[in-house]
Amino acid sequence: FSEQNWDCIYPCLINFQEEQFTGIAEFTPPLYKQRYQFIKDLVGKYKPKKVADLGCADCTLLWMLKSCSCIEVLAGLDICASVMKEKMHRLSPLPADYLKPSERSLTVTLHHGSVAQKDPCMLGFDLVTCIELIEHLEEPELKKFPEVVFGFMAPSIVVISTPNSEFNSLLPGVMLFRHPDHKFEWNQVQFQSWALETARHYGYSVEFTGVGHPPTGMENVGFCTQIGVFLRKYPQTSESTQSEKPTQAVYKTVFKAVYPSLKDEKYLQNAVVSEVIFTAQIIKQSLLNHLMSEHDPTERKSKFRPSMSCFSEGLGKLVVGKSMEPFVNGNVVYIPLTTIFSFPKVKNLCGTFEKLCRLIAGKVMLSSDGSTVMFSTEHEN
Amino acid sequence: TAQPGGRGCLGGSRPHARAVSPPCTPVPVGVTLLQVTPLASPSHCLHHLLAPELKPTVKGTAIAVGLNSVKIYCQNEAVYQYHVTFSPEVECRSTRFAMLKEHQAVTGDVTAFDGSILYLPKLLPQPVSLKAQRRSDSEEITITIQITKVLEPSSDLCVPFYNVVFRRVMRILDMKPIGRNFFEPDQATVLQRYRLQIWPGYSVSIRKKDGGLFLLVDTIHKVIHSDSILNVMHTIYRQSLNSFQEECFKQLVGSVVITRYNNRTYRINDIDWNKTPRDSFTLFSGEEITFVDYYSKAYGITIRELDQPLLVHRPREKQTSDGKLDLVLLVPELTFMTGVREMRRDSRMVKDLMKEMLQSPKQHYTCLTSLLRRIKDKPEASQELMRWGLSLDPDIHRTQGRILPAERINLRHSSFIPVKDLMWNKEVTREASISAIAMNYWLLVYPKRLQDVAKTLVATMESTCGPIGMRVSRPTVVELKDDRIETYAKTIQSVLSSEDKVQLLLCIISSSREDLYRAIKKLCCVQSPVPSQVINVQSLSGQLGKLRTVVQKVLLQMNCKLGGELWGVDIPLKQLMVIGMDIYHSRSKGMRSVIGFVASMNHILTRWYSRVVFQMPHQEIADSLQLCLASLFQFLLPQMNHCLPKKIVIYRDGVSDSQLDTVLKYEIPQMQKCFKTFENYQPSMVVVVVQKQISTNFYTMEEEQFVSPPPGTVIDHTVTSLDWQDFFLVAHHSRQGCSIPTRYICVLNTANLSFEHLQRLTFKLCHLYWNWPGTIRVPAPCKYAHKLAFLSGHILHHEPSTQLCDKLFFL
Repeated sequence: FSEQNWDCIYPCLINFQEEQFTGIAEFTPPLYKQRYQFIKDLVGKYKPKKVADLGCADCTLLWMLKSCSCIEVLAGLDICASVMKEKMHRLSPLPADYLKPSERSLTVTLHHGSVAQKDPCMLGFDLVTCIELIEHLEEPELKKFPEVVFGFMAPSIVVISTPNSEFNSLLPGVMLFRHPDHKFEWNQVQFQSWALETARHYGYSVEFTGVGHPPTGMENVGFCTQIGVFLRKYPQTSESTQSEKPTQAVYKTVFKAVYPSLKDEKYLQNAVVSEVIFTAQIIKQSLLNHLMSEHDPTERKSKFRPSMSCFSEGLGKLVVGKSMEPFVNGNVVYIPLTTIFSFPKVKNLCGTFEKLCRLIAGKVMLSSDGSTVMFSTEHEN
Repeated sequence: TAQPGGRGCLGGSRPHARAVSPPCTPVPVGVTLLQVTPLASPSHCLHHLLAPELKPTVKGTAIAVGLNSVKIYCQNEAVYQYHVTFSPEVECRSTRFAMLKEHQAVTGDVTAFDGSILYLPKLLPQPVSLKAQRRSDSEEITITIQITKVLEPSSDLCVPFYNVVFRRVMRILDMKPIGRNFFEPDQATVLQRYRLQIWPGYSVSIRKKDGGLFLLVDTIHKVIHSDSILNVMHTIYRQSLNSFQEECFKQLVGSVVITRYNNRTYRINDIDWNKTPRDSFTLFSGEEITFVDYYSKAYGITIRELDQPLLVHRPREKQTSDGKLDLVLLVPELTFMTGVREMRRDSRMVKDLMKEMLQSPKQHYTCLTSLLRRIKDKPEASQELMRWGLSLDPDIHRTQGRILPAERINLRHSSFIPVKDLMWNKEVTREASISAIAMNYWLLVYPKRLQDVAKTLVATMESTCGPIGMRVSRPTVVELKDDRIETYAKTIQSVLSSEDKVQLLLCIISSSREDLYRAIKKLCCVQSPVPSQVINVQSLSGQLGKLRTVVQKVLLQMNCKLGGELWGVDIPLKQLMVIGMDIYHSRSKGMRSVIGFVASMNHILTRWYSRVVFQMPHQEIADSLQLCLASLFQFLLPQMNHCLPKKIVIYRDGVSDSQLDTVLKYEIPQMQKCFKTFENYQPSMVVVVVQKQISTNFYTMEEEQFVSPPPGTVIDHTVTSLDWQDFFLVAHHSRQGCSIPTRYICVLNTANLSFEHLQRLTFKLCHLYWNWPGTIRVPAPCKYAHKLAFLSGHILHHEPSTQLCDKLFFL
């Protein structure tokens, strides 16, 4: 039997990706992908650290955003827990992420709740996206929405997209709304006046754009999806955030994933120790080869030449100007930590020499004064 | 009661017990809840456990065991199976899913649907007819949901989607799926010296067994390289610039890799040196895209090195839906190698790895119960199961096993019952073997510089051969001027061609070199057939005491190779022949599989006939089997005075569960056809499939502690199969870790051999592997067949000469 044959995942009534069924033939790439790409491009431009997606549905946008290296916090919010749960595990770190932890930290959290309610977990974000969200809101919720997003969350950037009803006549099979769950669909004037009023009230500027170009000759219809990009005019003062914000949590966390990162000392230590041993082994090999070729000049030309040519230059540069050089004594190779620290990869990982010493303490065999890495020549098979 | 069709009667209690319970009897609600005692399922299990009392003939002591299975309780009354039809027909499966989902108000949110069959934990009022609108063309679709079956919640029809549910439970616990198993990379043990990591994990599956629904759970580990394959390639490049590509091929091809961007594993079949990530491939949509762009767009991954070759994975036929074999190309930079290749293994690394991975029964038990606790403690996880009315027992399943009676070991003049750990090293080196072949004319070949070692060896042989009843005359010494392969080969060849009375050839080599070993074995097994023994000089170094031990072992082994018999056990069955079979699959492409076939030739099962068949890929094993049997009987007829065995018991290794039917339907009829070529010859047959790689495990309690079960422990109920007659036997004694039992599946029994007798015969056979003075995991004929197939397939690449067929030359 195969897992794929069974669809017993959480069913949900709302399907946010309605264009998959309707206008898919009209746009390449599909419109939903264009909207996500629009956000991705925006992230590339503004490099926000904390991004929240309201009405994140099956988390596709969040999944796409997790690869943006500027983002350290990703949050999703949806009124329907089951649609989020359906594919939420693709937001988990992959096994290989633990092999090469990334430099940045990343936490992904999914919350179950309404955009008409304030929860402190949504504070402090740089970018909040609301893709095809507002048209699903009932009148009272839509009224509360600006206060929650612009007044309470108050991120630097808000992106809101919604269907442009003027375009509907060009979509086959659309009678009233594009999706049965839509409560309304606005034309360009309706959306823009709502957006301008909201922006003015909360101190934002707004620019209008969209995805899904109209056919030539019908440009006045506008984009199939209209988008408003809101930028906060003034930097938020910390006092205003603190004083008037309620602290009571109303959202329920349904998912949380913390990615392995070099910010976490455990992974940093692994990476540093691994790099130190790797570097030391290269130096050791090169030293031993060097010794061999000195003892037996004929060997140098045949067997050991390739590896010598590989290392001698690099090593030569490294030991120049150092007071101590790596050396072999009996069957122990001594490599000063300063030599190892001079390798760029090690340096980049640790930053300071002191940190290097601290991280490898107890993990790598050191001389009694802690200044030199010791390696037995017999360890290598 | 009737026997299940197509299968022979085993006697004993199992088939009857099973036939009592028809497949789909509705079980009254609540019954499952009462089954908390080890005496689980009312019908068959109870019968089994009571069997010892009812039938005083059943031998063996009862022993309490803990299984790596966890009882699953079904709280629901039933699971309802429906057939869902869409009218007009809806082709797209995902559209069907979406349409049914819209009617959650009717179906509820707990559903399992494959596009036409729907399982629900509740009964819908019948008939159900729903309407949906197809979005693509606004067509109105009528969905009809019709009930087809009311199932017990433990029905095996539910097992597939229960497994889907359980996989989700594992994900809720934040376990990472890789292939079928789950791992916890954040709990990794990092072995910096080898640039390896060990990830702990679990293999889990829900199975319907004789004792009901169980979660089979085992601890597993994944060994994984910390470096990407690209980095591994860089290292290879530094170490062997000249033979870089060749070396990469050797080290990488055949290994299994995981990627940075998904949870899948791929086996590397080749390296394409002409391709780079800048090359393009065709997407499902028909769009051409370079690897660089694809990984950037789809996963946001930037490929740093543009000049790396690509790794090639060829999916197996059944993995591709349209039968077309599309290659999968992987970027080395984005892949990581799992496992440790044989060639990279050194004993130190293996030791360090094993140290991390070996678990005592106690640690194993702790791991299993900690998983159960984590499920219990995480409400979402237990709720996930409860949606289908499933709950897990808080502990592993405990039941009773039996320890089979100890076997008497017979030597020439004495016999004894071995001590608890079932080892008889002392006895076999101090007392005479059943029969010993005098070494009157044998060759000793060694390079000149090992002269002293050779002298000591001969002297030690002479002084140690007496107690085991062997006579060793002075060898004909062949001193080589150096230890080059050609020197060995040419000398051995010329000596063997001029001498035809040579009983055995003993070679001393200066290091473990497979090419030299291969050259010697090819000469002695194929070209000029003679039993041969190769000794690595390193094993002869060390103190005299150690040397004596080594020489004793070598002498015993040489005796076997000459046709001697070391020890035996009592075999009460008369006119019995035991056959062992195993298959060697070559790892390299295009190599043929090798079938090793070993059959007993005397009633105490101490003389063995052997035969090898090389088989083309896709060739039926049955053909080779027939060939083996035919040549066996041809050989035996004159020897056995035209009195062929009446009972033949075949132990067949290397068969997976999915191939059991093939064994039954094709192989066995072929063998039976072979018997018909002899007049009036209709032996009764028992065919037993031997499985070593299984996930069932058990331990036993000793002073409140879990320990490995004593050798001879057998379990033949509760976790046994519903479809086959099987039992689990731990025959060997393991010093470290958990001993894993071997599973025996009896697929045919026309010999009226009771299940108990089959178990005892199997255990007896586990005593008869002469390379090891103790019990082993599998019956000796299987192990012999394995050794033979390995030697022929891996070393000789050729069938050994038939002149050696009545000797254990392959030991």
